Amino acid sequence: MTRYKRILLIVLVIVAAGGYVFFRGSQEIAAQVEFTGQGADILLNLPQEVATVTVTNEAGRLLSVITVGPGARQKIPVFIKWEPDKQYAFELALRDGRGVRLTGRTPADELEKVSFVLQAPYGLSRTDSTGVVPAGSAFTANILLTSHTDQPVNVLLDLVIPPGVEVLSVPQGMQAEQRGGVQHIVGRRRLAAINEHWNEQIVLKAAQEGLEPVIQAVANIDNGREQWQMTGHAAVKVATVADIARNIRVQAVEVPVDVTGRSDPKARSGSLVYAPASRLSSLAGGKGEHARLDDEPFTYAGIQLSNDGDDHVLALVTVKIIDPASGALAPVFVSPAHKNAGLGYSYGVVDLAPHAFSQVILPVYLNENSAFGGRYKLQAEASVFGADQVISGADKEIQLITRNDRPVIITLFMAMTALLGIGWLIWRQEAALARFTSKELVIISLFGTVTFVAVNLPETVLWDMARAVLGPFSFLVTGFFNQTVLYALLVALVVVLPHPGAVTLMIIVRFILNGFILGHFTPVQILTCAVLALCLEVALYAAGVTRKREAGPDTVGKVALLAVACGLVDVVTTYMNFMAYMTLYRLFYAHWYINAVLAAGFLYTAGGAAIGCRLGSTLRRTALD
Amino acid sequence: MLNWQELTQSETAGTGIHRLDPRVKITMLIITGGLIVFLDNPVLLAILLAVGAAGMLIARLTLIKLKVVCVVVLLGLWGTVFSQALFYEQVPRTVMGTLISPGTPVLGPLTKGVYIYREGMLHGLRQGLRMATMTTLGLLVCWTTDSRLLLLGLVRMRLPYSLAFMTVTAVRFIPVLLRETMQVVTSAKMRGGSRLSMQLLSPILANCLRRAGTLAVAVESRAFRAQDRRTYLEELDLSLREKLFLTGYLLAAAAVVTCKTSYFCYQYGLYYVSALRPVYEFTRVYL
Repeated sequence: MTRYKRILLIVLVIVAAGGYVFFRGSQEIAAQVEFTGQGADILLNLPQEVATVTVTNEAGRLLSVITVGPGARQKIPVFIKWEPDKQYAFELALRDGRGVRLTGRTPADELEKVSFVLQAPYGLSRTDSTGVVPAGSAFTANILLTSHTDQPVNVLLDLVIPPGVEVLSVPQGMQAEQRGGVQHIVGRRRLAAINEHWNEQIVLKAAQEGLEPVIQAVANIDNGREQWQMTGHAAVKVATVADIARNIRVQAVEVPVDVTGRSDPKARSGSLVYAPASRLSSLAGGKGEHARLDDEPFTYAGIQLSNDGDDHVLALVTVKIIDPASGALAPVFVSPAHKNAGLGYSYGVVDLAPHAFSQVILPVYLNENSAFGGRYKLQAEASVFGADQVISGADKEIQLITRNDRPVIITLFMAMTALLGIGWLIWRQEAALARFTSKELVIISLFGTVTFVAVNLPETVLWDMARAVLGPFSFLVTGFFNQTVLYALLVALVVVLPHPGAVTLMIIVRFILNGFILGHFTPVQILTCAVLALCLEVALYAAGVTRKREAGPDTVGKVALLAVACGLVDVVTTYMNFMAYMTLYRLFYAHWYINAVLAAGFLYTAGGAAIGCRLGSTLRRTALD
Repeated sequence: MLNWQELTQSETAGTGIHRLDPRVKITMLIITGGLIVFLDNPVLLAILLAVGAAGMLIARLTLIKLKVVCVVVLLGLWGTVFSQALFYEQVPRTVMGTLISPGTPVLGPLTKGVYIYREGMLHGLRQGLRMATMTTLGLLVCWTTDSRLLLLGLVRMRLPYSLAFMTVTAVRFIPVLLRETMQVVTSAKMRGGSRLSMQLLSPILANCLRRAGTLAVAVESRAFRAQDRRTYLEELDLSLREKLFLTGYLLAAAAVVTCKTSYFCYQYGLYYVSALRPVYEFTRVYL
């Protein structure tokens, strides 16, 4: 294969991969239009980030261009004045560059001049169904009147409260009356403009179980030319909490699910992965370091409930994610203060249809500032709306995985360095070593021995003893051997033998000795040695020690430069060492601790390098004899 | 009293472990080093540690060496337990004690408080098993294999001969260096100087460098690096059983690594294949 063909093949592979990634994300969008009194609602099959909606009529005349705010939406209301039996076109421009065009025909007849809805208990999805309320608990009757005409209308509303139901509060502007032994709530309102609402909530109380009262509402409407009457009924069944609870069960809890309640087949149930934004992406205009994710839900929890009874039940479902150790709400999952009424957990009211399963989807928020990985407990509880008593619940273990890419990437870099180094050593074999004379090889191996005896042997005893006594603060003691003596010998060697590769050979000899005699053959040590060799070679070359191949640093400035270079090498390699331990051995280290070790290491190393310069200068003559 | 020479020398007892080809031991050590990085199940890690300990008993190591292993492993475990008890960053975590209160001047605001977490201690114990396993196996290999044979094994595994020579030189120089150090320390003491200091490095290294010159002449006079290819007095031959064992161990380790890698990719949302769901579940539960 020629070079040209190779390049072409690589380009094709990149284009194919890019195309796959690009088109994989573009799922087909389905949408429909529902015309309402205010205009129309555009309903999408999946939440989408829509930028603008453009509406045109049959003649192609532009009626409206609506700019939609940021955030994914599944329902977009469009406020236009439409005419009956006409076709309208809606063009959606998505933020990812895609577009959707859909058309809809308006109803043949105009909407009623006034629409009238009575719901009791408030929250039922259907107005013609019977809702169960617990005896002795409060529930709400909701009345909604909407004008769909330009002409002003006067409405006289009469709500008939049946016996056995007590009125707890009468809305302002309405009054309670007794007529024929039956209580009425009466009020008047003028709806002057199109789409004007009259919405009232009347708090009622069902006193005694076993009753099935029917609440009736009559709206007498007058637009000055004609009068008509609209009526609504709401049947309520009063039962004890125990009776209701018998039929309600939290059947399953599924996390994570999307906003529509579908679970991702790829995701393991109960497992949440959080990847913090990198500093690089923050600089590139992403989230700031202190930004919180919690304005948008991190994911959703789907709670499946069953109702084995014969009536609709309004249930209040709560989802709390707690710390299993303390039992308190886990700070990482506490919802922001301006969400969920500041309760800190999500809740929702669901109408449980009789003999059916219902699913309620509740948002789960994540606070980036306290995103600790680990095991949490999700508590889903259902209670009858209006009563505090929990009637059913289910727990689910949640595992939050905080994806920290940095240690993994650094460890992979270390592994690549080690693999390339070993590969190069095997490939080049003797040719790489032929640049050194026999005497130089012996000198390097001697320095390896001295390093082993002066650093590794005391370290084996001291390191473990110091770790046992001082714990993580042992670096203050062991740093003398690990850094000062080690770098003194390493620098002394390059002052004696200022050749690229000399330090690497010494590190290899020391590693093999350490393995042969002390059994220290661990993956982390291989990686650390590889990176140390690479960084030291680069630093010594950059500092001019191995590049100029002249007598060691002879001025204070040069010694200081070498000391700083070695100190920086130690900072880099020690940091990488931490990352390798975090990745390969799953250990944790606090930031302040890593910083303290790095700062102390820099000082120990710089001191060692300065000593090494002096030591090397005194040995140089002996070595060259 | 600890005797370094006794501790760092291999034993010559003729057990099966001693007779194993050094390449088998080195390869096993490398594979295990990779394997323990991928394993998360503490039971499997404990089994690997137990295998290392059992190997030491089978190899009939001296009591002092067994004691040293116990001390080194326990100290290592304690170090990991201690550090993880302080730095554990997962939930749940139960505070057992406070080392540095957030109100402590200077250190408090710097560290935001240092606490001892119970779950951190358990985590440290589990993770410390990795290091304990490698320490045990590493010591088992170096105590049951002559360093000359280990080096020959490495050369046969394509370690450059010059590097092998350097390592042998380094090993042979350890007793010389220790003797030299003692002499320098004695002379320093006789002059009223301190027992150990950085200044002692200079005479020790100067003496060693003089020896290096002599040694270089000696090895070159014996045709060191005179020819590209060289022969060896001893040859290593892998038996069929050793080959089968190594192949089996390598395949098992490769299977574990593949399972864990695919699970890692799945867990972090990098790559997912629905057909591998049983593998993911097996890996999550058992590995």
